[in-house]
Amino acid sequence: MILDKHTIQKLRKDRVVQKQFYNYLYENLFHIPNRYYKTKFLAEEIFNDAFIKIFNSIEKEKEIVNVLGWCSKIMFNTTIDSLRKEIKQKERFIFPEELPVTESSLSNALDHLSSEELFKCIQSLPQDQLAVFSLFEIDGYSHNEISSMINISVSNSRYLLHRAKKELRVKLQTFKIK
Amino acid sequence: MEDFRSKIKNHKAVPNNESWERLLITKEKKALVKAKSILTFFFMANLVCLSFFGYNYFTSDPSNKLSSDYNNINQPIKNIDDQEIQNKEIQNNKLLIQEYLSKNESANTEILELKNQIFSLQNSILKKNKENDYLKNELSNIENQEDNIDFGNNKHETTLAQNIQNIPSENLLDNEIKVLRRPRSLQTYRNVQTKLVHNKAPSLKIFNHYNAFNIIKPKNWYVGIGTKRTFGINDRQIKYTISLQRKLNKFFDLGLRYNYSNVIERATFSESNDIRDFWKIKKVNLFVRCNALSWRNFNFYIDNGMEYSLYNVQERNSLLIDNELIVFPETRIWDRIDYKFSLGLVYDLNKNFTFGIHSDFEGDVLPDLVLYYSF
Repeated sequence: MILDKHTIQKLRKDRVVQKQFYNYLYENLFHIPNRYYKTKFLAEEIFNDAFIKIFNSIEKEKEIVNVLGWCSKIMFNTTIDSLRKEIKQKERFIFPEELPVTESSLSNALDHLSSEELFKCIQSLPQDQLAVFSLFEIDGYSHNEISSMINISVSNSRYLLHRAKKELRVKLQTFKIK
Repeated sequence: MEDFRSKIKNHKAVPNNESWERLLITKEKKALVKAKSILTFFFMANLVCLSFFGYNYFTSDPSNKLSSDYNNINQPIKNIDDQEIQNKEIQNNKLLIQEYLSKNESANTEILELKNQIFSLQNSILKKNKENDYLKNELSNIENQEDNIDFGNNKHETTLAQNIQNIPSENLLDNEIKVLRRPRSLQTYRNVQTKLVHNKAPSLKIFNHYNAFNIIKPKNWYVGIGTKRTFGINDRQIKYTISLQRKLNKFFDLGLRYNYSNVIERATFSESNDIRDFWKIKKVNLFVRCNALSWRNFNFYIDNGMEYSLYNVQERNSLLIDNELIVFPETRIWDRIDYKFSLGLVYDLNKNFTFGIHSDFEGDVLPDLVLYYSF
């Protein structure tokens, strides 16, 4: 989608156009904060903060070529910034007895769920585990990158991911039973 | 089967009005916060300024406060006839004019006295110059007389002269050097000169033709003139300086300087244009000059001394009498004595003339241009 000069001018003045734009972004970009926060309410708060930043930035621009790409970047950065403040550093060591689970079984299990079920499943995790799981599994960041983004150590990131996967396996088993 | 990652990323959420309402509330809150911070800043700034002015007000002199004016405003107005007001104004104006005229008379007499003093000072300066001329003549006469002194009266000199006559030719030059080492009279030098010439020393024939031992008269007196002109926005200044000084030794001079400066207001008036503000200042300064630094032909000096100043200040003033504007000058005259400090930097143009700048540090930074003649 391209936002030209005329649309941007309308967007600045017309409240109806602003709501339409908000709904458009909600449909396409709400999954970003939603997969990092446990509750929809918190995700909406983050989405609204990011939307205000997007709106203020649009006022300065004359034309935007790739709206979704541009807005998703702002959305993602806003989400990570707020996560950094929320997640507290808790050092954990991976004990050699706790062996990591093979990746293929968990992803196979997750593939069978619908998108709503997936969100319910991952949102049931604790906040820090959810953040690390989403960054590693969904967005594909490495542990080094995750540690620098949300200000935790690499070993803590590995531990949180391991715990997240373990819990997801337990939850998936309950889903299966249901 | 679709990867769970792509399912999450492509998930389409359903927008709701509640989140939109919350967005509007969040926006207003942020704007309020910004406005609050700006208002807080202005409030604090006002508080600081008020406290500063309050401190100044309460610690200032009570006579500067306007409380007496406020008390007068609150008093009831009395009923007075217009004629009485006019009569009072006329009487006040008459008194003012009488005061002005009496001041003017006293000022005129003071001016006359000062003029006389200045004339007497000028006469004394002229007398001193005459004395200097007389002394010069005397000096030159004495020098001429020395040429004609009979060495018969001065035994030491005659024996010395005779001794020079009897010096054998081989040892002449050494003895002559010994003779010339100490200061001698002119005749002694002339004797040595004739002896050398009679010996026909080839390298000393030069002395046959002209007198090598001319005495150089030291120049101890300097007379200087200076001027300064400035053209400011509100006034223009003209200044003239005359000075005379005598050299005491290598470092110190003693001198007398006379300054005249006139600062005139630059303005054109529709009535009585010739009456305008001016400052006429006449100064006589007795100083000791210290020749602090000299480098090649440049000389830097410092003057210290006492100065007598006479100020004649005129201000344009006006009165309204019977709907007619009368313009008159209001003059003030006073004198004072103070310590004077000044600096100067001059360049020796030749043996007699020196040109440079001289600064008294009065009013503005611009120095005077000065030219000195030594004699």
